[in-house]
Amino acid sequence: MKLIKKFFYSTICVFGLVFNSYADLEGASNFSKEFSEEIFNIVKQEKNVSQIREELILYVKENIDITWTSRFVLGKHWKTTTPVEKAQFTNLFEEYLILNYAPKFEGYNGENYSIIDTKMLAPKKYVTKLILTLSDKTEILVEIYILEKNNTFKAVDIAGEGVSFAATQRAEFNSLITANGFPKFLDMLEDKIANLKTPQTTENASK
Amino acid sequence: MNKTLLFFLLLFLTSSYKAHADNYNIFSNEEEIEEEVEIYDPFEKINRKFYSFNMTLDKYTLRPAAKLYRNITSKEVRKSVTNFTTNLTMPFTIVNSLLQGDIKNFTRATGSFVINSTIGILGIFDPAHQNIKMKRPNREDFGQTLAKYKIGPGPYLIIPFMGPYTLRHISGQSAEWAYNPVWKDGLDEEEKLRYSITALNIVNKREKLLEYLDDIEKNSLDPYTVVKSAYYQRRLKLINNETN
Repeated sequence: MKLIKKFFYSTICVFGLVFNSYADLEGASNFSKEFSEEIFNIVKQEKNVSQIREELILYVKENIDITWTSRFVLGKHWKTTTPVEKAQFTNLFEEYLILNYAPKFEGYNGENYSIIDTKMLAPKKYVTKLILTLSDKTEILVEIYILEKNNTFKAVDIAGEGVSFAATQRAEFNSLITANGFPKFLDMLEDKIANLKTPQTTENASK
Repeated sequence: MNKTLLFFLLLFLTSSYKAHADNYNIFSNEEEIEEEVEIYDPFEKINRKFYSFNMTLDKYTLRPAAKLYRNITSKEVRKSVTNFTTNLTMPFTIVNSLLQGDIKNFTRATGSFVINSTIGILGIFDPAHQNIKMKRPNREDFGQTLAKYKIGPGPYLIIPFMGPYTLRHISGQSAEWAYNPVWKDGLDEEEKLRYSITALNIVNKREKLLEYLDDIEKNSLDPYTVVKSAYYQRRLKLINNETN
């Protein structure tokens, strides 16, 4: 009788775990669908560039886990920095991220996308693969890395053709911190932000 | 003969270096989140100088050529050039798929090469994938084959006039040059055609990178490290057949 009870409970546990992870996977899949759809909807709007930029920034801010990404890009230096420095870096990094990446999504040019699949990489960690088709039919593989915290899904990294934004940023920042020290690195980041804020003439390269 | 010798010399040098842990899946291990994964770059000082040299050269030669090429050609023409040059490299994918024992990719590459070279008029069009909807083969080169045989990447190198490589990648590339008909001696007219195709391929590839490289130069704090990291990640994905 005890054996049957044990078997019964363990079966329920196994089913519970399977269904739970299936539900989580579905949640991650839904998040990436909404995330890509919403970004495309914002970009496609017939509004002026500054309005589109503002909407994009607002949406992206709500849907990325900046604390996790900040920790990742600082790598081994995260442990050696003070809470004040961490907060200072996180704010600067968020600003840098927005100034650097938001303009890349502006100017819809007939691009389209299709989601391939969403996979669980580890508990609460997922990746969604999608194909971005450019106007000349060139296909680009895009991967969105998603993290689940308290039943909320947030993006922590985006990779294009295998090149991860977070990993690249981490390599760059770590090289600079090792060469110059953390305070000097923060100054450099601040200078870069100031530089990105100054309006520059952009070439309309696409024909 | 000299090229073959060079290939084996580089291969020997490469095999003496251990592979470096290089997992760019950001979720690989929660405990490792704060651990730095470093790319083996013992010649960083000289590499940085070569990087600056290449970028200056690019600024005054290749970049303007790529911009001019974009201005005088349509997207369709550029797509046809890409199709044509991709089809030319397909025999290398076929051979390397065989060397890697990847029969599925070998079949896909062979089918794609035969169809595009014939129905696709020397590869200018891409009926194998656009019309017949065959699955695209993964691009394979000798560097990737060496990686499959567990030969480590060796140090990161910036080659003047060429760009970023690992020792393993350049070893594989040397083998391709040794057997690439474009680099063989031949009749004057044939040579002209071969060099024209090579030049077109280089300019066409550079055109695709116009925005990407401009963006790195403009927005990065350390463009050298960004290029190094991006190159390394992309090579890793190609070796693991996770991108094409």
